[in-house]
Amino acid sequence: MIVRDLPTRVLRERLAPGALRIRTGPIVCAIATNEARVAEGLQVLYGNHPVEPLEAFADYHVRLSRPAGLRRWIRPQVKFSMAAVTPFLPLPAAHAMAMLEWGMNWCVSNTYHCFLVLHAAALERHGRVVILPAPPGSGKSTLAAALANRGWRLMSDELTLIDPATLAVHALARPISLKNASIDLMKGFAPEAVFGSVVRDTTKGTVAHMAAPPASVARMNETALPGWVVMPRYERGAASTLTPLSRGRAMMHLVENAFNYAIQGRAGFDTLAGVVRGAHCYEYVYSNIDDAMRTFDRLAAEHS
Amino acid sequence: MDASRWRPVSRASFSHHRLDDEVVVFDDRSADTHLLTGAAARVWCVLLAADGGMSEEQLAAALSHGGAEDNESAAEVIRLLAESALIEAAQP
Repeated sequence: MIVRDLPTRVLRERLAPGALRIRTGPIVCAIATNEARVAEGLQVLYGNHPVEPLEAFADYHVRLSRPAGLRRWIRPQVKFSMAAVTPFLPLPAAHAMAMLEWGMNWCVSNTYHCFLVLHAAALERHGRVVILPAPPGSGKSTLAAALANRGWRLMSDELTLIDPATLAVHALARPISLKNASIDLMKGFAPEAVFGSVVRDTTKGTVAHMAAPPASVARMNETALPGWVVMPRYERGAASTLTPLSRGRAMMHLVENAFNYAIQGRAGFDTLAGVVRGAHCYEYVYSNIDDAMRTFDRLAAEHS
Repeated sequence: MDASRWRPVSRASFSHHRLDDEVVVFDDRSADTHLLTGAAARVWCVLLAADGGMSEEQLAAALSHGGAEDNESAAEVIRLLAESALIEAAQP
């Protein structure tokens, strides 16, 4: 069963007590909320994701709820909690679906230590993964969204999971978070893609999520080995420039973008050395998304 | 530097990987990760292979053999590696 199979009434009935369990790759999340926006958002953005049985184990139990007091009703807010932890301040209720996405990111990046977790996008083609580690504002998500609609399988937009034992990248196939001008850019670039509601005035500006392509969701249990590590950087007006990067420097970028590197310790160090040893490493500056697609097509063709 | 010989710190304290002509070193004590390039990478590899440590002059000679480095470069590399706590003065 997938989320889309659940009628809206049933979906909301399951959400109220936290009885909805959604699988994203190796992770099952039990979601509890009475927020209608979240139910609608899940139907749009997670419509193709498997619904796990009620008795299935859930890695995370998350809840979106309104705080007690005036903010329950007047300029209503929502808060995110995972078990007994509330990691964020409350946000406007209109931001509920975005908050769920951020909250699920927080859960994985702070606690999912069986894998090395990178702040990076990951997409697969011909059985190899391109890892795009980058800080916010680098254009990583825009690039990932475009690649996901041009022949690359989306594994993740934000969190790349690497198994230290095998170096395999595990997919999450969750929605891609787009901000500000990237939203309209992607709506024009991929008119067939599915987008959630546009949410304005968030701490990240205007935000909208693009659903993972159905083919990416269908293959979310397929792992793949790293083939490329590419550090992207959007720069207005810049020519598309792909520059080889030494494996040592690429590894230091990965270290900087690894959420749980300090917790993994030497195991994380060995994992990242293994990743870069098996990968072609580059820095990539771009301003035009069509040029970027041609660059990545060449990359895939050269090394497939 | 007034130490006569240099050697890597206790091998139980670090792990390293050679990546082409660079070296990445993980310091278990501090959980810091270091990227060694150029002369620093060569000095590190030479010290790892040496028994009992090497003097600054010996390291300069090894660098010169590998890539035309001079005594001052060896001294600078020794200083940087010592400041990063990756090498220590060998006891006489």
